[in-house]
This record gives sequence, C-alpha cells and structure tokens, in this order.
Amino acid sequence: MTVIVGLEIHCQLDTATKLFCGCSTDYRDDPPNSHVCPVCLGLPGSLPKINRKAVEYALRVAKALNCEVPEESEFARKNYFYPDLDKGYQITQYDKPLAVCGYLDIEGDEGEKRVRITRVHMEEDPGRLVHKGGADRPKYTLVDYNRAGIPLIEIVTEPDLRSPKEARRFLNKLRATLEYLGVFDSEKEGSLRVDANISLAGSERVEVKNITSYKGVEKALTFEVTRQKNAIRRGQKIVRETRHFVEARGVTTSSRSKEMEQDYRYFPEPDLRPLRVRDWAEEIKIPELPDARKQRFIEDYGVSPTHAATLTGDWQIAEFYDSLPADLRVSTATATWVADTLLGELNYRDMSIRGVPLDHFKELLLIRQAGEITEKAAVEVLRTLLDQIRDTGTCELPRQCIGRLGLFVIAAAEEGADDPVTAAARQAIAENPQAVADFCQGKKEALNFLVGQVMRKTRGCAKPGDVNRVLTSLLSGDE
Amino acid sequence: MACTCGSGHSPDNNGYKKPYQDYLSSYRTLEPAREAYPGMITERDTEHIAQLADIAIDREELASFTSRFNEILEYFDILDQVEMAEESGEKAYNIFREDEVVPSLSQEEALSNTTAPEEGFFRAPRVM
Ligand SMILES: [Zn+2]
Repeated sequence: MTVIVGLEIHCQLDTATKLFCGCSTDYRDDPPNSHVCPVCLGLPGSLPKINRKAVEYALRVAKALNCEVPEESEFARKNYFYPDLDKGYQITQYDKPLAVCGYLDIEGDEGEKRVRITRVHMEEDPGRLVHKGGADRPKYTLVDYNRAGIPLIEIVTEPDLRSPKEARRFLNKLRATLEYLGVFDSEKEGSLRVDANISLAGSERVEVKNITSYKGVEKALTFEVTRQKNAIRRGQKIVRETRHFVEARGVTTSSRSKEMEQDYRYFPEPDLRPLRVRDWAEEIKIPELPDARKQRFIEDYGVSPTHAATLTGDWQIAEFYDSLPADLRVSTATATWVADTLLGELNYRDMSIRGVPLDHFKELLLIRQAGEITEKAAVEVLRTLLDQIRDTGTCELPRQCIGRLGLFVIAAAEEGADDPVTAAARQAIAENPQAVADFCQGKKEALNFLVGQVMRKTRGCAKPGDVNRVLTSLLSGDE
Repeated sequence: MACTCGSGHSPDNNGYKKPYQDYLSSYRTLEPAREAYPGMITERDTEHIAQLADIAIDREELASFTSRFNEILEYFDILDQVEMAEESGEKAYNIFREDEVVPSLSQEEALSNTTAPEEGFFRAPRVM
C-alpha cells in the first residue's frame, strides 16, 4: 500500500526581535509576559511594523528551496478565537505568500529524490498556553505572550514523501539547510513544529498535528501507517480527520471534528502594506549549502560519500571539519574519527554537537595525529571528556586528561634500557612460559599473544611496533 | 475551537489543495444569507460568528449586534464612494523596521489590565 505524506513545517526565525515589534526574542529563560509590548499584546491602537531581517531570512530560505518569489506578497488576518492569540487573529500570509513552487532534493528510499515545496510564508507565533488542573480535564488555562509575535516561516511540501523515514530525512535536510543559512537555531526548545498529512493510496487523508521533534515525525507517521493499515484490514473506512500526536505515548489521538470546520475569514491585513521583494530576493546571497559542501568534501578532501554526507549533514560539524589543518582534513582516519567516533559517542550519550568545546577535540585530533597517544587512548580520552561535559557542563583540557589517565604513548628506549615497555615485556615473558616455549618452537601466534599481554600491561599506551621489537629482541636473547 | 495544541499551525492549508479553494469554501458558509440580503449581515451571520467565538448571546443581543455590524459596513459604503487619487499608495510597499531590540513592558505593566493574573501569567477559562 503506497504511503503518501506531505509536511507543513513551522520554524522560528532566529532574529533579535519579534516580527512586528521590537520585543526581544530571547525569552526562554525569562519569566512569563516579560517580553511583551502593546503590539504583541494586541492592545487597541497599536500598529505592527515588519522586521526587515525576518523578511530577509525568509527570502534566504525561499532561495535555498529554489522557490519563485512573486512580484507582490501580502500579510493576511486569520481570525479565530483562542487564548494563545491576544488579538483574536493571527497575522499570517494567505493567498499571496512570500514564495511558491520550490523544491529540496533529499536522499529518498530509492535514491535521490526531489520533494516539491508548495509555498513558504511568514507568520507570527501565537502565545504559549499552560493548562492547569490535570492533563485530561484542565480547570483553566494560563497564558504567556512572550512567544507571541516571534517570526515563523511555514514551509509546505507537496505530498511527495512515501514513508515515515523519508519524512524524517526531509526534515533533517531542511534543518541542515536552514542552519547553513544562519536563520534558524534547532537547539532552541520549540523552534520547530510539524503538521503532517498522511494517507494510504485510495483512502482519505489524516492530518497529524503537534509534532515537535525530528524523531517525533517518524514516530507519529509510523504509528499512523500502522493504524490506518489495520483499520483498512478490518474493513473500516479511514475518515478524513485531524489527529494529535501525543509524544510521550508515541500515539495519535482523534481531535474533535469541529476543528476542521473553522471559518477563519481571512482578509488582507489592513495595518500592513504589501511586500514587493522579488528584486531584493535576486540580490540576496546565500552561502554554500549542504549538497555543495558534500561535493567539495568528496572532491577536495577525498572523503567517502557516506562520510561526506554525515560530515555536512550538520552545519556545526561541517564547520569543525573545515577548520581542521589541511593534512588532517584529507586523512581518511580523521573523517572516520569525526563522522563515526565523535558523532557516535555523542549520539550514544544523546548529546548534541552544540555546547561541546570543539577546540578540545581538534587538539585531541592533533595529539593523536602526532602519535602522542594511540587510537585506543584517543577514544578513551574522548569518552572521558564527553562524560565530564554531560555531567558537569565542562571538561578538562585534553593534555591534562591524557596526563591524568597516564595515556601518553610510552616509548620504548633503545635496546637493553629499563623503560616501561621493556619492563612489561620482561613481566609478560616471565608469566607465560608456555607462550615462550611455543614461540621458540616457531609458533608465530605465540608472539601475538605476548604482544597482547604487553599492550594490556601498558594500558594500550605502547606502540605495537615497539612492543614487537622489544619482545623479539628479549626472546632471541633468551634462546 | 481552532486549536488545542497552542502551536502556531494553520489547521487548513495542508498542501493537498490550494489555499484559495479553502478560502472560498469557508467563505461560502455566509453566502446563502448574502444572496437573500445583499450587502447585509443577517442574524444568522451574527449567530455563526458568536458560535465561532464561543460566546453565548441572547435574542436581544443578536438583533443589536446585527444592526451594529451593518452600521459599520455602511461606513465602508461611504468610503467606497471616495475617489482615490491614482498615485496614492503607489510607493507604499516594503515598509520595514530594523531588527533592533526596544525595551518591553514590565511584567506588572503587561498584566495591569487583567483581573486575575497567576504566577505572571494571564488566566483564561479552560480551553481543552
Ligand atoms: Zn512586543
């Protein structure tokens, strides 16, 4: 059964002030209703004024998504009564959106795929509601308008996605693109919200609202596919409806049908003049985007396509990689270390690349590259530092950590000297007479066993080459 | 109610059909009355709007609101008669402000018009 998915994505634009007033958007750690003014509170007599930066950011998005920018666009009022809207309407765009008819290429289920973008428009975020007195049957609602008026862009796709996984990949690509453009900060809580339309071929479609995380999109859609398939199997008909995603339980629940029959009575916003920004859009420069960067990593640094996709799939990681010294960038070991080890360890801890002191990891890479620590030790240091960051928010300097853990490579001195490697080798020989005897009978595996013993005694800090040399020399002396 | 999640979505315009068609179909809910009384708001319209706003109004209010709506619409008829100079509004596009922070109201000021604030929030009736 073919699955048909279209997405509607709302992203907060990372401007300093709100869309129509000068209130700061940096509200997340502040008390409720402390970032509000007559405009964003909808007080009578106040007038909205468009933030130039917000339009510029939206145009960057339009350009990156290969959209057409119509000659004229305008804001509209969408009327509905709900406490998150202080004015009784939301200023949004309706029949004259900022941009239309674009596309974004993604890695689809069956190779490269072009997902069409229906439109990109601007609107204001509503306020935040806190329902009091029990989740199921709240007694009343508290309202914070700090979020009211934060600039949002809404990106609507055509129903071109064919699986929950594709939807997730689309979102990841979109997030990366927005972050490359410098218009969006995915780390900010609530900065992205998704509504998804999903249907099975031949059936009615269902709209799933209230998805607030990247993982949530895949979960909500997977749940819906199963629910709809089961219903059809039981001979039921899928009804066209709106459902809510309940993240905590990973399910969608039906919403009352009244919500679908709204009469929003859209009309052009009389307090704002229309926009004519097509020429401006043409002048706007946008930076190198993920696909171009991926290509550059492959061509200039010789990174494998898989690693290049991982390394450029997040702006911060791509920047980190680009900031490494030239000889490191072109080494396969570095690409593996960043794409697999670093990101794998972050993932394992459910940590994000943000808030991690990347300079430390660059230094660690340099230390490893210089052969001052072994590969194994580098991973141990990385894990230690990440644990420290997770637990305390900060971490030691790499050299400090390596010194404390005694992980610097132990160099074996010249023949006959009493260095730690030689000492460990003597100990290994004394403790394993059987292996020594085997070696003397020409069994090569016996030497490997002894090397392993020495490596263990030196906690992996000896160079295997050194260990081999010292052992061979000691054993031939014993003969 | 339009929205029980408080996230900034648009419950229509879902990418499956063009938004303008949504607009027309929602507009049509007012159409039958329009045809009967062109250019006028009927009591049925007022009732419909009250319903959307979740406001209970009685018979008397219904009549009073309806006639007041119509008075307001009559102002527009007057405005429609004013002849606009050709060039007026021509250049009035792209009116922007810069992205510079200006001080907001204090929380006390923001809440000073509400009767029952709680913990710095406005308090509204149950909506879920
Ligand atoms: Zn404001």
